[in-house]
Amino acid sequence: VPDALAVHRRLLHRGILAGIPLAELEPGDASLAEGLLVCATESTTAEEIELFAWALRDELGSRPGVPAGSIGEGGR
Amino acid sequence: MSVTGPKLQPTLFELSGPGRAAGRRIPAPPADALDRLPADSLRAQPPALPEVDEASLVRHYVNLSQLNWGVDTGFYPLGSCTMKYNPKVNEWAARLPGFAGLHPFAPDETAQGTLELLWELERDLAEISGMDAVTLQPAAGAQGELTGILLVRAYHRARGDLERTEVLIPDSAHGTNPATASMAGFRTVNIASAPDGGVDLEAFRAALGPRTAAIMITNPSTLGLFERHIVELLEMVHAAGALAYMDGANLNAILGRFRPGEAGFDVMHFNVHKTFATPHGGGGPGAGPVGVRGSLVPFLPAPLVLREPDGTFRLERPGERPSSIGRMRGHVGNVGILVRAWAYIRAHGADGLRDVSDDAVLAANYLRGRLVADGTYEIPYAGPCAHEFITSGAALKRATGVRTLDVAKRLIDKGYHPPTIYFPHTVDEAMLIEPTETERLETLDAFADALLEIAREAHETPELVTSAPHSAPVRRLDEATAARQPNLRWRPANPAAPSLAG
Repeated sequence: VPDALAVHRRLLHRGILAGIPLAELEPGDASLAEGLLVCATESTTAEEIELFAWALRDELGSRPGVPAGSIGEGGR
Repeated sequence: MSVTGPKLQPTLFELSGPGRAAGRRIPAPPADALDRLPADSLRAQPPALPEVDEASLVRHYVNLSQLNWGVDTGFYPLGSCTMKYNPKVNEWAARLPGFAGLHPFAPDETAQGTLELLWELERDLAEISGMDAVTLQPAAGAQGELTGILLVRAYHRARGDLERTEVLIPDSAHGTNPATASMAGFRTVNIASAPDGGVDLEAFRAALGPRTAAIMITNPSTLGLFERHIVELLEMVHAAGALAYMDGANLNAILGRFRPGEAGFDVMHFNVHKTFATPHGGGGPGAGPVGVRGSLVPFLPAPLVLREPDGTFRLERPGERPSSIGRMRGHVGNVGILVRAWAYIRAHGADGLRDVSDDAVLAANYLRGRLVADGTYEIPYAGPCAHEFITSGAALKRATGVRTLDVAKRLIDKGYHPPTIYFPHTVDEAMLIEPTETERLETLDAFADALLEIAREAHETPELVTSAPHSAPVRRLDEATAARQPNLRWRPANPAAPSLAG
């Protein structure tokens, strides 16, 4: 993810905790500087996955259609 | 060896039957989820998990729980373990979703409440102990000991004092003390206790020297005695250039009455599951915070919780404090346990915590007094005790052949968990009894009555005692083999039966 730390922070302000920026875990490894470590479990719903994907695309500048059931920008 | 009996329960696998599983299932994944996975990553057969209806499942676990004896079942005077009642409000606090649902990698700004609680707990423990700073990271008391002794090692190394390779430990110490010193690379020197059960000052004086890195002292001791010569001992230790570690296992006796840091101890650990009523974990999760005085603060494990000038909280960042000995375990410790400890401390307050210790000492002395008055069981050490006391079944054994082990097993029939037996090793046929502050007078009297009744049985019908327990789910077990060669794997009675997956 380009500019991963900033994207992570902006998503947090929108109510989405976008995993862990790898730059915080391994600050010395330049190859991980733009990584986000993201995980879903068996209790993560398909709607939550869609919402996360939509918000991430939105932050990266490619605005797709809003998914059904979205909490919307800035919502919590 | 297999364990069977009418009170034992079948396993979930034996209760299983195809299609019996009911109730909530895992939320359905997207319809095409399996199509997105590589075919060679998919199972050929479903997992052989037991299928049991909810009512049978609940009864299974409730019945299993009733095979255990716990502090919620009855009196549990297991000396040195402080098996006191754990207030249920602490469980409520730990299960608040903001604590229970927090991920350990959550950004600091989403974890301010938890960080503030941890910051306060560090300071509460420092206040209670008279130490300057506290780490909450160690996972248990024994790991707290190791952390403390590694801090001692770091201190001496930082001063270039590399010849200090010995740790002095009295013979009444918990077995974890010498194990800790050995794990940290030190040689342990065993110091015999004085005849009154206390530290032998002259023996310590003779052993102290330029090779001494630290002493490890439990105060009150495992004999339930408050060390009378602690000030002289610590002065000798510091004059020799060594540090003093206090094993905080018996802190429940001294809250609000004795602050180890103030007395001159340099480092100590806290067993929060003893003193601060978090559950005994049966191997975990637990917590063993460590407190230190100023000279050791730079070496504490990272990350500590920091409060910024604007009042917000954050964890230390990797590498921020290069003098740290590093991590002792992941993240900041077992936070759920630490929430319980914070809740217990705040619910009691300073006066309440002093009352805890006063009542624990009173209960132990009352029970001790009952046994002294009767005279059947020997009380090896004169004078009042702290929160626990030693009694000995040696005279009973000489008179009847009934051992302390038999008395302990017979107590199970009477509805009590036995005390700690054959520890400390320095007392013949020892029983170490710790009633704690949470028991009523009637319980203490009934327990004393039971001990005396067993002594009468030992004289009149000794086989009744030596064959006990009679009412427990299982009788006498081969405990040594069970510990050394545990056989915990269930196998179907009929291996040819169809698989559970059906």
